[in-house]
Amino acid sequence: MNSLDDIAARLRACGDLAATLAVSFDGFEAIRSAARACEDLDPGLLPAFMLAAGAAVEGRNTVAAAPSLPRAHGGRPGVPEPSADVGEAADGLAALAGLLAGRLSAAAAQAAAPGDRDACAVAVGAAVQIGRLLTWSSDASAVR
Amino acid sequence: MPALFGDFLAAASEHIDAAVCFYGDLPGGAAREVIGELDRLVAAMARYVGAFTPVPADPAGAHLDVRARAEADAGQALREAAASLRADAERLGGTSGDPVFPAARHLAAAADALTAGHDLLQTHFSPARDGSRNGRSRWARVITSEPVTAALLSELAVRARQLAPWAARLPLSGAAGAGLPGSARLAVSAACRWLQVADTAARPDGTGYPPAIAAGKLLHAIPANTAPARHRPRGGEPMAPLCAGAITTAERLRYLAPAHADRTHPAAAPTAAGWQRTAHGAAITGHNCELVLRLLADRASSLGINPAIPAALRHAADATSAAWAAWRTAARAFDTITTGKDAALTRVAAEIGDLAIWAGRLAHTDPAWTPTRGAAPGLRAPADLAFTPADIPTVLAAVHHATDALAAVASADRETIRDAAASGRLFIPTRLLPAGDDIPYPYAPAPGRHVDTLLATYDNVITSTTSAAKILDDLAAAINAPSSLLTSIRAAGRQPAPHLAHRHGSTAPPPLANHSQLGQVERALRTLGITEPGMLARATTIDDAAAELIAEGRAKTRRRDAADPARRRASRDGPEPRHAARLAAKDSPHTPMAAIPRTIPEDNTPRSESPRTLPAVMPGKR
Repeated sequence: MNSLDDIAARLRACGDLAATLAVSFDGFEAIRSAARACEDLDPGLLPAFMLAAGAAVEGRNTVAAAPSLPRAHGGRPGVPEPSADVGEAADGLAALAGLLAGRLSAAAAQAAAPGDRDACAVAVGAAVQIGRLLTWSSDASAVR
Repeated sequence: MPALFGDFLAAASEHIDAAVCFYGDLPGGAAREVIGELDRLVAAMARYVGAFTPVPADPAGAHLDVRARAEADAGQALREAAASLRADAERLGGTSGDPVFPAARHLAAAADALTAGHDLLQTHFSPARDGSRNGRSRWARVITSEPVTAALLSELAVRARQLAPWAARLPLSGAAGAGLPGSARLAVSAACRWLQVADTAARPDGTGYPPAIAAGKLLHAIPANTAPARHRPRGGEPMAPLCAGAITTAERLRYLAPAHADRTHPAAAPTAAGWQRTAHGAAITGHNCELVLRLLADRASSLGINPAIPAALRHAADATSAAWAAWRTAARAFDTITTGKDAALTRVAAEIGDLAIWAGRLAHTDPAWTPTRGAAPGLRAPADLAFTPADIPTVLAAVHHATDALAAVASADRETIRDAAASGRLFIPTRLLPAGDDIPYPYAPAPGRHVDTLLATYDNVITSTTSAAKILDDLAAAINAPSSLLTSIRAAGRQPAPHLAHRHGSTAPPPLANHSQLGQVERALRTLGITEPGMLARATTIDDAAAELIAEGRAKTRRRDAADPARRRASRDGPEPRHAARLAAKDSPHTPMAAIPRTIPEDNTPRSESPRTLPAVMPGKR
């Protein structure tokens, strides 16, 4: 079982591009899974969680195409336990998205291969989008 | 808002009304102008008949039904009238530029309006390789439907009924009549007889009864087949602009959806990212539409409206709920299935968020509502949504259009997904595969069961969304909502896709006895012994187009000369050489006929947007 905190800790501990990409893949997948689990908790937040899950899929698939992502030997990343409070859940996902954006930005700066740089840049965009969708201070551009 | 066919019909009608008000003598030169413009007008009317009616199975006529026979007779009559007037106009030497006489100017304006209307209808068809035309919008089926064809013929017949007696008086009126050659008088008389024949033939079943009023409304409501401009919500719009914004966006998405499925445009290749974005947008739109319908039901109850209406609104809300749930399931399918690194979005995927926001702002109090956590979640009070009973149909129309557009989007997406599956473009990231699967690629082909499930999911999306749209059809008709037109369009959509003959659609050429009345191309073909109706019809088309273009060119030249004394002198010295063949070639059957008139806005926006393209080779060995 991967908790969001575990993934955040792994992200902070990453020392190279390949590790950052691998944990980022798991991070986006964890956000996707958690956002889907939260969709029905509050009708008012249904659209935000749906779109956050979609952005997480885009980020995850982008990272999956990065040349430096190490080969995996199968096995889906663990599913985080859903938070009891939907607001807390949204806060947690937004925080992880923010961390992903920061780490991937740094990874993009150090990546040598254009494919890695581009993948990181696009994944940063997806992470920022998730943050916009799930934080209180959102703006309308999040969905455009 | 695209131009409507009714706009052009109304303009033509107005100018014909004005023209036939003239009862005095025609001054010198006016007769020539009037005959020339009457020729253009009748030729424009002739072009309609047969152009939008499906090719009969038995063109020889032995088994034509009454409707087909009436259409054929009317078309032939109008072509005969046009040919008669054309010969007459040519004998009189043609006109010298833009008409000056008021009646002639009105006739010219009416001819221009009908020509533009004809071109508007043509935007719903695209040419096939054999020169015939296939429908390219769902309005194509409406245009070729029996009731709408009858309504079109009826409109033409009304104009013919106005023009025939008026034109009959022209050669006999005073000095102008005396100035017309005898052959011209005969030609005009013949044209008038043909106009009267056209009027009679155009009446369905010969009963003289007009076609159904609903068909007439449909005819007038046919839009140019072009996308309305994108209309993004700005925030703070009151209720009526919110509804209008939702409807315009729905119409735009409905237009873009088939292009979305355009397999001939490489840039438009849809991606899983786009399908998921579309499905999310549709789910959010549907969710908001459900909220709006429930609010409307509450409001209808509190206003004491017929209890059947609130019940029907709740029924529609339930159907909409099932539809958006299906869309959400479809969106979730793309959590696993992907098309690889390319995340380009089609225009539908890029713009469907607009519809979600319009619908969201109808349902919520927050005038700047967006599908984010930051938006205020409060729903409108029912009375805020529809203050009076008259507001309910307006709001319902917005929901109806939105749902109808989503049904069109669903069908288009299923087709593109089916294509992607057939061409092996559906994958899953290998990191999501079960432990132990060691695949040295970032993606693996999606297992067949996943693809089958995905397609079944879209079948359910189409079924549920179409079902919701049909329920809203009935509701819109019951409360006379402005969107009730969608019901007729959906009914016409059940007919087979139309396949029309080229341009005039004439399956039998008019039996002109005198070759001098023929155009150059048709005359050349007949001289060669060609009797094939299709070729002769094409020749007539080319001749007509050439004549029109030459007339336009003459008018333009004279306007230019009028503004430039040097040119005027040169013009007096001798006419500019004419290049009829070159002009005619522009309208040959081999040329795409998407000749949109200047009155129809061009749509130059790209077919797809590629906000981002992901790197890496896919599926590439790592």
